[in-house]
Amino acid sequence: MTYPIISVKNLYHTYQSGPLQKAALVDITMEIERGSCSAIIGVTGSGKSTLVQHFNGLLRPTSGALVVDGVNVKAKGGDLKTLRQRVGILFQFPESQLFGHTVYADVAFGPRRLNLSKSEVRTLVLHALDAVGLPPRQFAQRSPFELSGGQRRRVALAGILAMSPKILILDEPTTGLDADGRAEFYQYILHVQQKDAVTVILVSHDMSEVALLADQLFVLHNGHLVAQGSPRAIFTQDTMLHEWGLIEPPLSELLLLLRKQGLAIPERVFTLDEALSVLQELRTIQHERNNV
Amino acid sequence: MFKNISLGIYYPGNSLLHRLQARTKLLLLAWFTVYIVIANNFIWHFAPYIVLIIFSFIGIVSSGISLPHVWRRMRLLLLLMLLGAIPTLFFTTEGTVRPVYTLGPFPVSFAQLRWAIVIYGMLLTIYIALLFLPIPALKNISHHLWLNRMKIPLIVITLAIIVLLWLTHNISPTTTFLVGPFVITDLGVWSFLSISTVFIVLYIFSLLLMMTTSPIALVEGLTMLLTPLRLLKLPVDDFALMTLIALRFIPTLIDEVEQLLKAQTARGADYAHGTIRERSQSLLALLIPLLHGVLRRASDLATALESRGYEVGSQQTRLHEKRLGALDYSVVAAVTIITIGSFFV
Repeated sequence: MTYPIISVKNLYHTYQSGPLQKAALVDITMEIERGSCSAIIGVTGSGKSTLVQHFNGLLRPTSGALVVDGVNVKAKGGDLKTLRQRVGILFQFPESQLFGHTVYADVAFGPRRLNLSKSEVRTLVLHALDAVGLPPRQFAQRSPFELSGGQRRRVALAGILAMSPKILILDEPTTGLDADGRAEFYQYILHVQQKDAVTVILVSHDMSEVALLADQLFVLHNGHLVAQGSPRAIFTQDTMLHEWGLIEPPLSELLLLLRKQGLAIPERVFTLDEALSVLQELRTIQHERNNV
Repeated sequence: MFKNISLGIYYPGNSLLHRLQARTKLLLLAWFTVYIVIANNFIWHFAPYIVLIIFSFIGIVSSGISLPHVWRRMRLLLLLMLLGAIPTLFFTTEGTVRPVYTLGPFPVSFAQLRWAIVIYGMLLTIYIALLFLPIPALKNISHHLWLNRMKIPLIVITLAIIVLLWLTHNISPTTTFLVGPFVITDLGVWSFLSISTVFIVLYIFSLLLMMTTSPIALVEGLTMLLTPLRLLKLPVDDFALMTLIALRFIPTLIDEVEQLLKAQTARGADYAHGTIRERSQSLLALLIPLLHGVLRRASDLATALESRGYEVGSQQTRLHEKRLGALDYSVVAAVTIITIGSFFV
């Protein structure tokens, strides 16, 4: 029996700025499965980043219950140090947070704070660098500032992974990367999720990225959780998606248009391979009809 | 967490003072300063001070800012100013002086002094007992901020008293000395009144200027007033641009610091706990990326400016020309006539 690694119940968060109050999250109730890859999607200002910052205690709920891997995040107190070690969070443009004079020193910043021996820190750092495809032999002693954008971002990811987190939160991890950089980054994320059994939570508004990686989607709109389910289920609700300010991934959109033109494409079709086989099938059917 | 830092003290609004041009307000402030310097030369001539007080009231009313807001920003300075001005009441002795009131002299004997020290010692013992006795109710009191803040002054006072006792221990307790006499002179009363009025009024005027003018309008106004300095080949426009950029980027930098704080906290940085070494490492992890970001931003901005044809040392034109209106002229005229008139009353 697996119990959810994150469970949120009736969570509210209100920003206080002077006399003005702004409700950022309203009555959020959700559960995230251990070992899954979930995505939280929504337009800018929908509260995605606010929500995930609760998961490692950077923000505290105004009211409601939040349990992350057995640690209770309350309005006050609580064991945040353990929580922050278990929950790694990679912010937008993480390469701007690098500061070490070598890649090794930068990645080792987190582990050094965990009261580990030198050799343990070393093992963690080397493992993390390997996991993001930066061979330590080649990269450990270089300055992070002389690397390319994609490599620096992977150094930042290694800095989080070196803390051996159980949950990895990625806040729009691929914005500003080129197509190759993106594909490579996804590959390492999936690798970490499958090999180290890390629960991945992705915050994004890139729908093709979400469709590719996530197996569970949560849609936020104006601080409300308006939908949750598998990407297949969510991306067929095109009218609702548009209402929330989102658009389905290009492939889903294309299939939707074809369906409207009268092509019999079943709703379960979701990936490029599936679409290809369905279209080929349709073509053979058409050929046969023409030949008859 | 940094969102509550207010930049300047500008209160948006559309009152009479808000509608005045920034340079008009700056000019008026400068004129009032000159006016005060001139008025200071006429002893016992109250008219200019009454005019100043009336103007400051008119200013507060026409700024549309509620009195409690102004008062909240004034009260601390008012207290400091009064404390500062009280000595002038006693120690103004130059010129023709007529004593108004004499305080003292008070004879004080060393026996009395030592009694005072004994009482102080008893109070100190009670205070230390409060800190160390394991009574929860008392512990709560001792954690109050003001009690904590008292610690260092108390140590200084106690040390001073011990030194004093050591220096005076062989003087007989019956020896007395005189404290005072304190003489209040008529000139002292006049300096006290005029100096406090000038301080309060100037502070109110500057406060009103800052509260009714947005920082950017203020810099623009200042630049326009400084334009004659161009003739001396001083880089007025570059200075203005520099100041505007600095003002513009403060919120951006605050955002960046906030983001970095969160990112490094998530990686285990801790700014409040741990050894000094750990804390300074955490601080370094914040400062290096911040500096790096600032330099990158500066170089981007320089490129953007140059690509739009900015040249160092050239004269810029403004997108929104602001002309002085009838309001500005009439206010300046009224203030000038009334202030100059007050000298002849």
